[in-house]
Amino acid sequence: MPKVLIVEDEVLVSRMYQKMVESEGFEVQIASNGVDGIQMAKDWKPDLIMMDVMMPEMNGVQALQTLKEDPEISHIPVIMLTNMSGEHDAELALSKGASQFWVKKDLDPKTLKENLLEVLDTNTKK
Amino acid sequence: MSDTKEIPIKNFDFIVKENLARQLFDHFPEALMLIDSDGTITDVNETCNAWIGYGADELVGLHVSKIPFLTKKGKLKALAQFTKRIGGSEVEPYELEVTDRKKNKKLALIRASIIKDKAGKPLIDFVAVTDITQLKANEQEVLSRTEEIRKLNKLMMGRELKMYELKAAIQAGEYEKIKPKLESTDPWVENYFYQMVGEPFKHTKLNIKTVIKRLFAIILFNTKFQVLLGILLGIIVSFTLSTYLVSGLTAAFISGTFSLLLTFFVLAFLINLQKDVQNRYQDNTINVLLNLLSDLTEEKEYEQIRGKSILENIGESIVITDEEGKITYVNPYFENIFGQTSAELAGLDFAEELEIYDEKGNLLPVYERSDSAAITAKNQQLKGMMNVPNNKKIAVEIHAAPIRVQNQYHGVVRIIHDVTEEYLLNQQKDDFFSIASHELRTPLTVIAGNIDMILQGYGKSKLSKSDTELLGDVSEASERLISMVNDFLNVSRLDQGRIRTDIKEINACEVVESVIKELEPLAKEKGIYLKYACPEKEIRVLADLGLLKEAVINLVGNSIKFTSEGGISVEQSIEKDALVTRIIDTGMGIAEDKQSKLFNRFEQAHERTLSREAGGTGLGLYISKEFIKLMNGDMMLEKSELKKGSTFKFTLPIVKSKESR
Repeated sequence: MPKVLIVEDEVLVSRMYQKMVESEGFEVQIASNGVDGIQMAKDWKPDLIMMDVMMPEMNGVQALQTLKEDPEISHIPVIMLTNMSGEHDAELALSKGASQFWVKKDLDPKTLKENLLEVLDTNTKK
Repeated sequence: MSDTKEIPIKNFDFIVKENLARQLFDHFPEALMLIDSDGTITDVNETCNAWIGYGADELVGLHVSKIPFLTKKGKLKALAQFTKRIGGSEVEPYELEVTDRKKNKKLALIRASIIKDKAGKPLIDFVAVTDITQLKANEQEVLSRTEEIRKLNKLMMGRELKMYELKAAIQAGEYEKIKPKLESTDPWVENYFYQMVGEPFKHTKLNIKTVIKRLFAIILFNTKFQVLLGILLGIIVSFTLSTYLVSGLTAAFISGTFSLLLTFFVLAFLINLQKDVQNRYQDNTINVLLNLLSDLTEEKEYEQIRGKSILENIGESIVITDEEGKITYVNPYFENIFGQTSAELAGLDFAEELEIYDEKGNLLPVYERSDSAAITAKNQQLKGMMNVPNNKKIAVEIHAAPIRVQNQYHGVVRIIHDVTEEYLLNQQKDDFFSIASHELRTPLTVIAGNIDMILQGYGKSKLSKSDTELLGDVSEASERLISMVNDFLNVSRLDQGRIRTDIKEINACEVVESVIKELEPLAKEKGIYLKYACPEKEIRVLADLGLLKEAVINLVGNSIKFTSEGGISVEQSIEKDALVTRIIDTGMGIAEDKQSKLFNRFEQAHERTLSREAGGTGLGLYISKEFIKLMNGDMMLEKSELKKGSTFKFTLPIVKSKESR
């Protein structure tokens, strides 16, 4: 069972994603901020990380950068999640090594599994 | 005198010192006098002799109450003051009238102090007498000038008032009504009337009352007439007197009355003649020129006074620089706010001396703050932060305007407007909206997401049909709420200029295609068509992908919303250097009176604003248009007819060809 780490400061949102992702047959853990997220990525070694952009203390892009600079965990694909359809944030995140960039309100449970598997697939091919 | 100069300073002995003291005493520029404790003058210097004409030979040995160049009162005052001093009281300097040897009256300021011995016993009274005659005269002149200016000011105020009344009356088309009120002896007002109305000022018909009124006014205000009247009256009096002496009382009375009446009529005639002459400006160039000359000088003086009082009393900081960018003046309000005075700043470079920072606290480069930047149209307004005392900063908006006199550049005048309060308010608003964006969207996203999950069978239990329907409604409502929140946030970001654009080459066909694909289900649901075909393989435009997509979604979505028969087609063509996209629907159309307001905020063309079908905030078109404008395009309603449909179009700059770039 593939392991997905969700990094999101808002409990309601992370719990929703957890249910969604779990129902598609993934194993899920939650971190509520960037610092915890990085620690959990090291300890738990997930196959994929879904990370919110806007978080207090260490924001998503900073956490992404730290992740990608750490050789131990830099191979894990990261999907960035955002509230706004900000093309700029997307470009910034992609340039820093994110695999994909999802807008939260466009997230569709119907295609979620497909999309997650696609990211995992692309990553293993690399 | 000349020997003392040859004595080296080192070799001062007692005599030299005494000699020097003597010389200092004698040549001191004020009259000095020594009086012993009994009140007897013991020494007087040469200046006293030179100024008043009384020397030591006459004054030494005299009692202080007998000083010859003082008046009786002065002598008493001198004695009284001396007694006070010797008695140990402090005496303020005082003024005395002095009559010199040549009987000229002069004004003196007397300052004196008592020299005491070591025991504190008064030894000698040292008196300095300063000539303040000229000073007093100057002071008097300043006072009278001030009075003149005050009078002039009052006069000009009167004129302004009359001008204002006349202007208002002309605008209201009833200057005839105001005419009697303008009756005056002031040619300036009449000249103004002539300029405004285009016809000479004609006085109302003469009757005895107006003549007397005018006569009095002229006697009161016109010096020329005052002289003339004086002469005439003199002639009358002497004529009457001589008649009396020669022919007796009755004849004198008759001739006196006659000549008085005659004088009156001559004066009345002269006054009217003068009026007449002034009215016929064309015929009397010299008169007009004279009038103009006196007006010009008065006006100039008045302008100066007015300008100065505006500068000094206005509640805005003002800085004036010269052609080299050096500060020449700051007004009192500026001095108050910035704690630096005009005198301190005069001659210093504006850009170097007054630092302006951007919102983040970075110092703006000198060239942006300099006068050369201020005189180019682009930088006439500058926003920033400036230092004020107590280590504080205020937000300012600086309006700069070059001073030009007959095309000659004379520097820059800047008004520094304190916008700290607005700035803080705006910041609070920004903060509120960024909090709202996070706090409102998060729960909405959770509601929408969770409902979607339930609807798509996440739960084990199967939903009943009515449950599915209810949840479907909740889902739709939450979707609508999210889009409303997004609309509000977009508007607030537009207001604050916080929409970032990333304009680059993109394929416009692709964007429209993706929108069509997204909205197709909606159109299908309503049973209407949605057509689009890209006229070329690809059309490259300069745009921001996100903003363009949102604008197209909005336009097409709107058309779907308001069309129930037929459908929507999107057409594109290249016109000049722009791609024109038209969204043509066969919907309900927009009434003519609503068309002009269509792109305003909170405006929806249809009354059914809050109906479920239409929905929305009424901000969509406003936001879309602003987005397109941010990408250097424009959006408009091309045509619309009720019940037949509307055509919206928007333009975007195209990328011509690779070579031409």
